[in-house]
Amino acid sequence: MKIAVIEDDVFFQKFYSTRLTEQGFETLVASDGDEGLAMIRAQKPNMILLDIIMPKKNGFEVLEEMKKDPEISSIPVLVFSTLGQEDDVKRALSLGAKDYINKSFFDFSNLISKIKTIVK
Amino acid sequence: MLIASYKCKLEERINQEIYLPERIYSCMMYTMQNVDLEEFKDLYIKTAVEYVHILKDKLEEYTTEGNKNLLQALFMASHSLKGQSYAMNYNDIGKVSREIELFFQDAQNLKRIPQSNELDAIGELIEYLSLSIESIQNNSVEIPLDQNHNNLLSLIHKNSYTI
Repeated sequence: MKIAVIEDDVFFQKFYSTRLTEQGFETLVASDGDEGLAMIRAQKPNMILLDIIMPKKNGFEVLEEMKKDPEISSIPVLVFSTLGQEDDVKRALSLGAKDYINKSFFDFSNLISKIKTIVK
Repeated sequence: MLIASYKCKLEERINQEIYLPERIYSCMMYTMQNVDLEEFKDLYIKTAVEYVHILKDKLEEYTTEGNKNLLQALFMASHSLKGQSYAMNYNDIGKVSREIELFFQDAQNLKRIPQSNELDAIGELIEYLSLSIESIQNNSVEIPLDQNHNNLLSLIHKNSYTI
């Protein structure tokens, strides 16, 4: 299964791509919304882990563009949040994200469980 | 056993509610992490040092030029430093970064006009961040916040924050 990690923070990129690869997922990484959209369109991942606050295009803009593009609109998205982003999460869910995960918790079993639920 | 039970209750609550009080969040840092953080320490230090440099440089520029475009860079750097510091259990660095992030988020959204004494306080807090990251590098522990730091945080804190 191919999972795209769209996240500008190198620390979280490395953590999540390392852990997902260890679990047998093929991991694709992009550092901003523009790069992420290009990657999604080219690679058609099975699922996307999407940060909200990013340079160039933020997570909301990525979700809005995905909605308009029938080629990629059905790819499930799980958004990354951190402390203090409750309103951002609500907005992302209203834009079509399936679920969210607090990226600072490092609760990997919860992440895997959510991935399995979403893509089954 | 107790910790496991507490962890489950907290997870359940998170699944039910998006709202998350900060004190519970701090507890969770200790109860939910099941990964070897040491493996990521070097990467944390490298990226944290970069964010602190951005904060120092952009704050100096903003203080002298008042260019509002710099607020976004200050917000982004403090936001990133907050997330990865809480992830690594460096909760005092996370707390300081979070207050700086909120300050610049409000300034960007025109909810507050930064005052010179507040910018001076942020400068001192950034110095704390720098020293604390150095302490992690040398001694593997962050510097605990003292009364002076807490006074500076109170100065920049806005009472209308919901958390």
